Amino acid sequence: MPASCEQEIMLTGDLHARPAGALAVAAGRFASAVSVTVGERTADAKSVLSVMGLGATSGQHVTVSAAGPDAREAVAALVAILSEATKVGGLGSSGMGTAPGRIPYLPEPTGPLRVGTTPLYLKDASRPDPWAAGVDARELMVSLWYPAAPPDGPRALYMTPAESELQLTSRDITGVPPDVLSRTRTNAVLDAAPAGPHRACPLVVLSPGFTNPRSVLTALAEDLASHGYVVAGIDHTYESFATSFPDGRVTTALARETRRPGTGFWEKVQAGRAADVSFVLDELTEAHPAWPGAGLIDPARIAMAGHSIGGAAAIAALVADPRIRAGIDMDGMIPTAIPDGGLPRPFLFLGKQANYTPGGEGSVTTWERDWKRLTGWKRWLVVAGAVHASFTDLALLADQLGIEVEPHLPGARSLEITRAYVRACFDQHLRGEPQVLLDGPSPRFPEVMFCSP
Amino acid sequence: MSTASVGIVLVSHSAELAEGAANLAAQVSGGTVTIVAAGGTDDGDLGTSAAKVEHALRQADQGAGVVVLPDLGSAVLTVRAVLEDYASAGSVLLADAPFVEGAVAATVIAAAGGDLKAVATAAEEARHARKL
Repeated sequence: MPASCEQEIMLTGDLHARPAGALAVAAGRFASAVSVTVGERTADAKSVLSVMGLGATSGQHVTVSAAGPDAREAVAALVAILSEATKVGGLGSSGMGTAPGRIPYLPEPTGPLRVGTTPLYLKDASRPDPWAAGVDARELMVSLWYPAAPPDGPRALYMTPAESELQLTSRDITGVPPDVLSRTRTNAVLDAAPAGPHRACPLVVLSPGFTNPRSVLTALAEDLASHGYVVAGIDHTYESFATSFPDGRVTTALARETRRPGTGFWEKVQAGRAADVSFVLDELTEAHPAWPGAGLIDPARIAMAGHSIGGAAAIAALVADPRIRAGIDMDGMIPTAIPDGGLPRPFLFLGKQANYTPGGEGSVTTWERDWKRLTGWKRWLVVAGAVHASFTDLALLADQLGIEVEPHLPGARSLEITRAYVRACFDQHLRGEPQVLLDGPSPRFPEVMFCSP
Repeated sequence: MSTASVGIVLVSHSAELAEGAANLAAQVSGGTVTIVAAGGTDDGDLGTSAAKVEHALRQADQGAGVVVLPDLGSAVLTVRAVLEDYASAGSVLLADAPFVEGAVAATVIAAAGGDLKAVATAAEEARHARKL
C-alpha cells in the first residue's frame, strides 16, 4: 500500500561522510522516495552528496520522510542508522561493527595461462598426527593451482569467512571487518578443468610460515600456474590459526600450545612438514593419485619453496626426499642442519636484508652453517626494505587494508620480487632455462642483493 | 552478498589521487563494492597507463559491469584505447563526472544495489551537487 511516513530524530553526532554514506546505501535499497530534512534544507536520502551537503551537525533535529510502498520500513531503517552512526566516534564505534575499508585483491598473474584452483583433502593413515593426541592419521588440506581450460568462472575464495575471522582475531587485528580476508579478490577459477598434455607441468610445493594458512602464498601460486606450473600449497594442520575441512571442522593452531623453549619444537615442526610434503607427493604422483588432474604433473620435475619454517621444511624435505629437485627458503631460520654429507641439489636462500645479511647474529647463522653444506648450485639473495611478511600476500593485504606493520617495501613490490625470483629459480632448475636474474644484480630489481658469505 | 555489485575503476594521472579517492569512496559506502584505483604511469610517475587500466577493469568486473571515472579529459584517451581491445567493453560505462564526488556517489549507488546505468548516472549527476 503506498504510504507516507516521517519521523524526527535528534542527531548525537555530525552527519559527515561515513554516516551519510551508510544512510544513502540503506535508503537506496528501498523503493520509496526518501528524504532527510534539517531546518529549511531537504536532501534526497539516496544521494550521498546531497546528504553530506546538508551539513547537519550534532544536536540538530532531522526529519526522515518516505513515500511509497515500503515507506514505514524505510523510515524505521534510516532512523536506526542515524541513531547508531552518529554516536560519538561515528561509524566504527559499537553497534555498527568495525570500520569499512577496501576490498583487498591479489595482483594479476604475469603468465599467459588461465589459472584454476581446487582444494584437496588428504589423510595419511601411516602416521599419527604429531600435535593432536588420539588422532591416529594425519589429515591435510592442500590447494592445487594449475593451468586451466575455458570457460571462465567464479574466482575461488581466498579463505572462508570463519578462517578470516580466526586469522585476524588470533593476531589481535581489529579495525577491519572480521571477514575481510574472505573477500580478497583472487585470480583463479574454482574447480576449473585442468588443461594441458600428459606430464606437461612441473610441480612446485609451497609451505607457509607458522600459523599462516596456505592462502598467504596464493599470489605466488597463481603466478606460477599462469606460467604452466602445477602448484600444491599445504596447510600443515594444527600449525595454522585456521584450517577448514570438508566436513565443516575448522582446526586451530593447537601446536602452539605444546611449544616449550628448548624442547626441539621447531626441529619437530621442520621434520613433520617434510613428512607432510613427501606424503603429498605420494598422493599426487604415485599410482592412484588423489587428484583427477594429476596426469598434468611431470614427476621428474618437482621443487619446493617455503616461507619461514616452511623454508626450513624445504631444506629437510630435499634432504629426505630425492624426488624434490630444487628448493627455496624464503626468510626462514633453519633449526636442523643439512647433514654432514651435504645437499647437492640446487637451493636458493631469499631473505630480508635486515636479518639475513651474512656476518650478523641470530637466524642468519643457520644460513651460514647450511650454506657451506649446499654443495651444488646455490644463491643467497637478500631484499632491502623487506619484512618477514614481504614474501607472502600479507604485506600487500596489510597495505590495502591500512593495517599497521613496521615500515616496509610496498607489498605489491615485494610480491613482484618474490614471484620473479621464485619462478626464475624453477624455470632454470626444472625447465633447464638459464636465467639472467640469477646470475647477478638486476637493474629491474635494485632492492635485491647477492651475498657470498 | 547474493548478487554482484557494479565495479568501479578510478583512472587518474596520479596514483596517490586514485588510491585516496578509492579509499574515501570505500569508507563512505561501507566497503562492499570493488573499487580499483588505476593511477599514474607504470613507472609511478604522473600520467596514465593502459596496462593499469586494463588490469583494473578485470579486477573490478564482478559480472555486473564496470563504471570508469577519469580524473581529467586526457585520461579518457587512454581508457578509450583500452576499451577498443577489451572483450567485455559492452559492460563498461565511461562516466563524465567530477572525480572525487562522482566516485563517492557512484560507489554508494553500487553498494545499494544500483545497476550499471544507475551507477554511471549517479556519477554524472554529482556535477550538480552543491557543497555550500
